[in-house]
Amino acid sequence: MSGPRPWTILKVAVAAIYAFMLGPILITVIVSFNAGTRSVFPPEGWSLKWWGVALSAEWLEPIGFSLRLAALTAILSCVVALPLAFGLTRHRFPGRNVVVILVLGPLLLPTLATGLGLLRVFELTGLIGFMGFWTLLVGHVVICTPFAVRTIAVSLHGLPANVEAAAASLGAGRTVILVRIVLPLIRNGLVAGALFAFIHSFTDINLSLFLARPGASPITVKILGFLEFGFAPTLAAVSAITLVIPLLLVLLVQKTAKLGDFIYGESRV
Amino acid sequence: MSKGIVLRLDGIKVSYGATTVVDGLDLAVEDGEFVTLLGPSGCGKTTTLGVIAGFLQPAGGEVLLRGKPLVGLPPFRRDIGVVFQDYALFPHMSVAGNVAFGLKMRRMPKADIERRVAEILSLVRLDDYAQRLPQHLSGGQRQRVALARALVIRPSLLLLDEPLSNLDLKLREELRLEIVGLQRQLGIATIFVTHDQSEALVMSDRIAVMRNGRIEQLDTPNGIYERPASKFVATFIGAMTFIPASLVGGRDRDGFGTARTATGRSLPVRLDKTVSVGQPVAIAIRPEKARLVRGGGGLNGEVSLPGRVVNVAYLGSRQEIRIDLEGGVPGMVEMSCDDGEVFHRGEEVFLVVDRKYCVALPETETAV
Repeated sequence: MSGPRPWTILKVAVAAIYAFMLGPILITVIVSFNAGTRSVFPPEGWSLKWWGVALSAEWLEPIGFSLRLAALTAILSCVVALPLAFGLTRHRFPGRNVVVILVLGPLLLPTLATGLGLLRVFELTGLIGFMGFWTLLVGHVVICTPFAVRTIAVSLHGLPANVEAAAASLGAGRTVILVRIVLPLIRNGLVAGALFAFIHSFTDINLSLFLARPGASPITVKILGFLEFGFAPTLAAVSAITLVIPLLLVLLVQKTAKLGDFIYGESRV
Repeated sequence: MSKGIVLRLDGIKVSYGATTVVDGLDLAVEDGEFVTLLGPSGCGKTTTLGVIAGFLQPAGGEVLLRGKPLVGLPPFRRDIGVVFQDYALFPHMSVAGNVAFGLKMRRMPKADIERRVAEILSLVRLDDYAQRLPQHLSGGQRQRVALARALVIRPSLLLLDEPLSNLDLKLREELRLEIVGLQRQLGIATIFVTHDQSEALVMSDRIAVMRNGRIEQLDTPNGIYERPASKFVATFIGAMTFIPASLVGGRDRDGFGTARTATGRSLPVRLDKTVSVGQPVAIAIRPEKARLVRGGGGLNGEVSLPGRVVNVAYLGSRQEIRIDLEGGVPGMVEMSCDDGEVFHRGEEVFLVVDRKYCVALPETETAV
């Protein structure tokens, strides 16, 4: 009740949070334009030479690898999540809670533990020969599916009552109802799920550390490996690239689908 | 019988766990007929509709549509149009897209679809809204789209599940007549579910009053109103004064029985239902059949009961007067205001009614 003071405090707090979140990122971007060989801030003169290195095959190759991995992970996560979300929202079956925990498990467990576990599984089943893209894909789908299940389940809950019954009464069978009624109506949930899965996969390091192999590493693992030789301005430029990709994607998707529902429960009209 | 039977329900039973929701229900609907399932919530009317549409599987019984058994057949093979309470329009399709959906499912040629959609949209006066999305329509318009969508496939049977209950009163009264007009024009046999007795009376050819998963009475609106089969039906449709009594004498020469009220008064009563002497009954009197007089005494063949005015409600053309009868029995009388006769609260009066409007109904448990 006492005037604008609480609001002032809130504004300062929000500003501080943004400063701590965005400040380091901004510094990284600025450092990537440094002319010197050391990563210092403020930069010792300006140059694009580190960007030249960052845009060479050495770095573009793992970035491409990560993009392919993330895109496939996003699609597969949604494919796996769709029936799971259906089952969990529509049916009360024995063992439902077990499925809920199994689905949410990878979200609750440290990915490091999941990665270690998966590595052992691949060893024991003799699939270790597939180490690289395919094992990474399996691991990423495991840790990304929970996101997709969540967003798709939210969408399914929001389906208007009786639309499926109405479609059935008009002569539509199950498949037609799924393709022409349900999927278009849960589109936002699918897109949001795919987006979250993509970003989670693209930025993952913990799990990837266990499942990658030399020559088949996502960009995050490559960056970590390079860090052992110190933080060169090259890394600043590479980091900037990896930063821009998810951001662009979010902006792009935001244009075509409403994601607010899934991030802060924005009401749909 | 000149008309054919479109739908026949034969001993339909539905239970959820130990609760029986529909309990051996029989019903036959004729060509072009408008039948209403009327009852309080939980009486099984919507469940019955679900069984007919194929959304629910009955535990027993058979549904016959033009003689063809439907139980076990999925909804999309039934040729039944359904209009839902919440409209259930497809939000991602335009009005025309919604209406065309059922025709597309029937793989009708595109030109025919366009013609049929245009036809039905003009019938429900929505020609100008074909390209709108449902969210940009009013409640009444949405309901008309839902109606058009169900009718355009020219189903053998139309099911309406409380289609008016989400609308405001004025719109509801308009749409009642519009739905019935459309239904008559297209001659589609219709089953309408509602808990609103005035809707049922206005719209139906016949009304099935439901209670506890059974049809308590099936009759024309007039028959239901004038000759209710039970106290439950009488209470559910219109207002009634009920005087507790027991039947002491069977039919006399004029066909009237004799009932003795709890206060010891002997009254002649009409016997519609088989009630046996000695059985507890409720003497049911419609408010508009009775009148109030001062100083007692009715004409020949009239019954006169003393009471005291409790409340007078002025309704414009009519007045609704609540009285306390002997023994604290609440009574109601509806009279025209034309006579200029004014009654006041607390006044001692007599309720006078012809004995043919005093109906003895079997006294059953009142579960309203």
